[in-house]
Amino acid sequence: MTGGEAFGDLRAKVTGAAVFASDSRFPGMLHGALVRSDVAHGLIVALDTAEAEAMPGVTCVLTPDDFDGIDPFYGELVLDQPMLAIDRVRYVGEPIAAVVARTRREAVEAARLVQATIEPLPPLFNSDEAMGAGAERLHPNGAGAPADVPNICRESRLAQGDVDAALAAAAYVHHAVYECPPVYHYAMEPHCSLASWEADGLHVISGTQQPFRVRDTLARMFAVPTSRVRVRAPYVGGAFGSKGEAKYEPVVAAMARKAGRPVQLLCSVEESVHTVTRHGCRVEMWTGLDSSNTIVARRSDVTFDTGAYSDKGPRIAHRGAHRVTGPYRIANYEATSRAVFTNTVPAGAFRGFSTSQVLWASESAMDEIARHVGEDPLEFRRRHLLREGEPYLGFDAPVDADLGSDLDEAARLVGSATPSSPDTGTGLAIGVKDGGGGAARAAAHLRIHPDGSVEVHAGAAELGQGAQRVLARVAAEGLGVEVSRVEVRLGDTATAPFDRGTNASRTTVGVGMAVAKAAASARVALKVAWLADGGAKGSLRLDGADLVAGEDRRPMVDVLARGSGLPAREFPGLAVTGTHTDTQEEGSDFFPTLFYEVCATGVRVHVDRETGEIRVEHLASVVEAGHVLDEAGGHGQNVGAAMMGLGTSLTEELVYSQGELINANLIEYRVPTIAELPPGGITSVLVENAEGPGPGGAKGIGEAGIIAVAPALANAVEDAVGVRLRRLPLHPEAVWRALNQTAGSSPDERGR
Amino acid sequence: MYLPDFELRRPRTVEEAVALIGDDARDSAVYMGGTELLLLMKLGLAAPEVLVDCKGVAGLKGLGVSGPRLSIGAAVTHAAVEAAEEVNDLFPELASVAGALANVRVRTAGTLGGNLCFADPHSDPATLLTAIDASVRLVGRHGVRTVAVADLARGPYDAVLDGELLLAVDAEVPDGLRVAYERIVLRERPVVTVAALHDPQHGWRIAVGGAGQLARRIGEVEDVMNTGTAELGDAQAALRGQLRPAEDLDGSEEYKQQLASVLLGRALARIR
Repeated sequence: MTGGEAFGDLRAKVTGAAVFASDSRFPGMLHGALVRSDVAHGLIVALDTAEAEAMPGVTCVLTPDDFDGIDPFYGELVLDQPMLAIDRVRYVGEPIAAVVARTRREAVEAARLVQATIEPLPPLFNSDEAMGAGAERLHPNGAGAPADVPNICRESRLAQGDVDAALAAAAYVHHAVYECPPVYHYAMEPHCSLASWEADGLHVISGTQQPFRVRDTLARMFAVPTSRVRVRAPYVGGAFGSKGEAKYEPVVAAMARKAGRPVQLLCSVEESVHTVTRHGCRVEMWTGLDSSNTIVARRSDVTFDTGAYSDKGPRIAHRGAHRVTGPYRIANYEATSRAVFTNTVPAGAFRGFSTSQVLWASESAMDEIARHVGEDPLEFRRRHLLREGEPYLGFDAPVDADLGSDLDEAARLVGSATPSSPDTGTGLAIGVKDGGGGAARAAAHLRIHPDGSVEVHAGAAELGQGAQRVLARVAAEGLGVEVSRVEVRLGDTATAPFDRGTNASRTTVGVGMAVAKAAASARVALKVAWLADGGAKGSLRLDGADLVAGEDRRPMVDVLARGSGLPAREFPGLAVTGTHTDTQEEGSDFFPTLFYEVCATGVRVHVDRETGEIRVEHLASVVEAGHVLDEAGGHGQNVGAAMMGLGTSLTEELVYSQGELINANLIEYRVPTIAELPPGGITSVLVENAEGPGPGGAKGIGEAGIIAVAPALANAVEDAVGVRLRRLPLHPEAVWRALNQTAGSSPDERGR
Repeated sequence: MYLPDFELRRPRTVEEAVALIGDDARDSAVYMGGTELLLLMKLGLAAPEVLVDCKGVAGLKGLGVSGPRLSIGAAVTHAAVEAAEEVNDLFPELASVAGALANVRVRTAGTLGGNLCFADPHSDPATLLTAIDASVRLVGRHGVRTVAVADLARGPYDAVLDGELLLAVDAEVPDGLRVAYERIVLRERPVVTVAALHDPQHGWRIAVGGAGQLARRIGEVEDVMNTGTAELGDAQAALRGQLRPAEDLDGSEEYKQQLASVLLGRALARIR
């Protein structure tokens, strides 16, 4: 791995030299395959592994009978997911046994021969069924949930003022329901993990976003000291939330334990889809206006379908309550947000972490209301937008950007004023998400070797987002050396200090600051040693292996070794650890936001009235970056996120039939390719106001570009042809039907 | 996920190929581009014992024109059809259909003949070639026979091949031919395809494919158009009554009828 080269890992990835988990091998390694349930909900009454075990090449078959000494349950907040189903299955695709064999093919073929006898239980295919009276409980209810409604994984409520009174007194109440289906991340690399039990403990190589979480989970489940678990995340071929917490690492470690040999488990794409999804979501929203057309109240009721296990569902629901009201000045609001267990694939983190789903509702509603009162949607938003410095929701950290100017810029770029042709329209939406995952605690090790080259160890993972390049630049700038002198090594729990994980757009701000502080500490240490060595006063710099101030040049190791008792040629150089925390008063239910990820999205579309096809002509994505550390990487994140948003808005939808996913493949589930880039392109704007908490005022921007795309599109469709869609994806047939509907497309609204 | 085991044979002559394909004792499949066959095998939907790779069989790579007749050998890829001067001169719409088919990987490896033998309702060229009454030459143990493209499939993914190898696709391109080919792609494959042809000798020839159905000529629409006085709406009304598309992830029956109607209107408007 390298972070110092001008093009970072590009050459290695293009030539195939880059090593991913699927390329990794332990000596003597065997291969695993999972047996998965074909029943959505049922009791496992028998599991016959004899035929599979008798197959050539098969070493063993792991079942829950092998869990002696193992705690088989894991999860982020609630430990409710077993590595293999125990007695009961809760979704189609749930692992129920695991085959270990000499080759992957032998394992896959033998896995088909494991006979599971499953007695079906009544399945709960959606959140309405799951919350229905008398529905079987898949798990005990979680925090905040009403006891009398079954299958509530978590419920959170956030309120200010008196919403009931304000809505009752309102001159106009807009009421509508917005829905979006589950979707999948489709990282290019499917899930892959390897485990090896060696004399010094458990070694794991895994395509994970959170190597330290995985390490700690494995230590707990297998009851071994943390010091005896090493997890390495090599290059990860994209994640977008799908590779956080533990996924298949526990089961592959258990397979290796039983087999007595290292094991690699490489999922097919279809299996990866059956691992974790983005929550399908339904938002019911009431917005009240006074007689001067000012919003006085908003009530939101949000239901996330969280699937069969908690995963990150509880936090998704919790944050959904925080994000649904939107970045507006609304005196009275109330947001209730819940995650509901169903017999579907567990839903979890996905780029934006609930923001995309709830903004789909609130930013669609803003346009609908503006149109109802006859005001330009941009002006209507501007009247209500929080100004820079105003607290978000009245209690959270002040907004750290000029939201109105971002919207203006997006509008200007897509040319809202002059539609170029009939059935063409523009749409805007603004997305604000509390970034950083609430805590910017991070640490990094930095070493300056005797030859003056620099090595950084940090616990973040390189997911293709460019963490290595950014951190290399931060170290190089901090030390005043060429970036080519810096090597950044990521994702190895044996060499890096603890890190919470690569998620929530937190690496640049958290780990970046730790690296910056390590570099600053190193400079101080060098200066102290230099002065103690009698070096000349004045600005000190590192030049190759030498320290230089003015005319005074000395080998760095000579300076550092003085007084250590070690000869300079054996002195190890300088090692420092940088730590950083920017966390404010943890412990409260909604801790203050560290920084806001902001994106104003503008789109111009053409709608074909005859077929309902939406052609996106141009998209502008204006993102608050604070300070750009890597120009190409920053625009890459922004354009990539916008493109991903086009997919999840226009074509992507996981379709279940009787609890079974029927389109878990790339033929029937359409992810946009480069061929679907809008003809007018995606214009990426990175606004630099240096107000972020990261190096040089940087913010994290990994999620910003996706969160406002869907409502901007629906708003543009209404602008173009006058129909309003409230369900994603915006399928052409839905557009066509709306265009041909004579009545019934207006929301339930009350004026007086 | 994994290809099942198979034996790979590489005949050099048509006779060798036919002997392998026609061997009733063993389940075999002709392997040309493999763009559809290998996918099915990986999905576990097909498991022939023998793959007969005919890419090296002499005489299948030819592409030629003789007067109004265009002949395209079984081993000619979509990319070669797209690039061929003969096709671009005589039947440019076929070249453009070949050039827009699937993706560059499929066009580079896949063959026109293979596409027709696969009998996929979503096929682009099948619709165009059905409209122009193209035919294929099949060779088997009992000699060569000619089958109309329209009759090549019994049903979706089910061609009438009886231990036979497709030798070539033949089409006759009449003088004064005007052609319009329209399709709608919402995800990976075309949802509906419409080809409309007109020439003084045959009058209107109109084929519709996709929508869960194999490409076929729609005589009712042709009759309406051949009256010479029909409005577009008459032709579209005649078409709607003839289509019973299956509902799937691309849309409902009603929506696909709408798409077919729209495409027909666009095709006719282009050449009327």
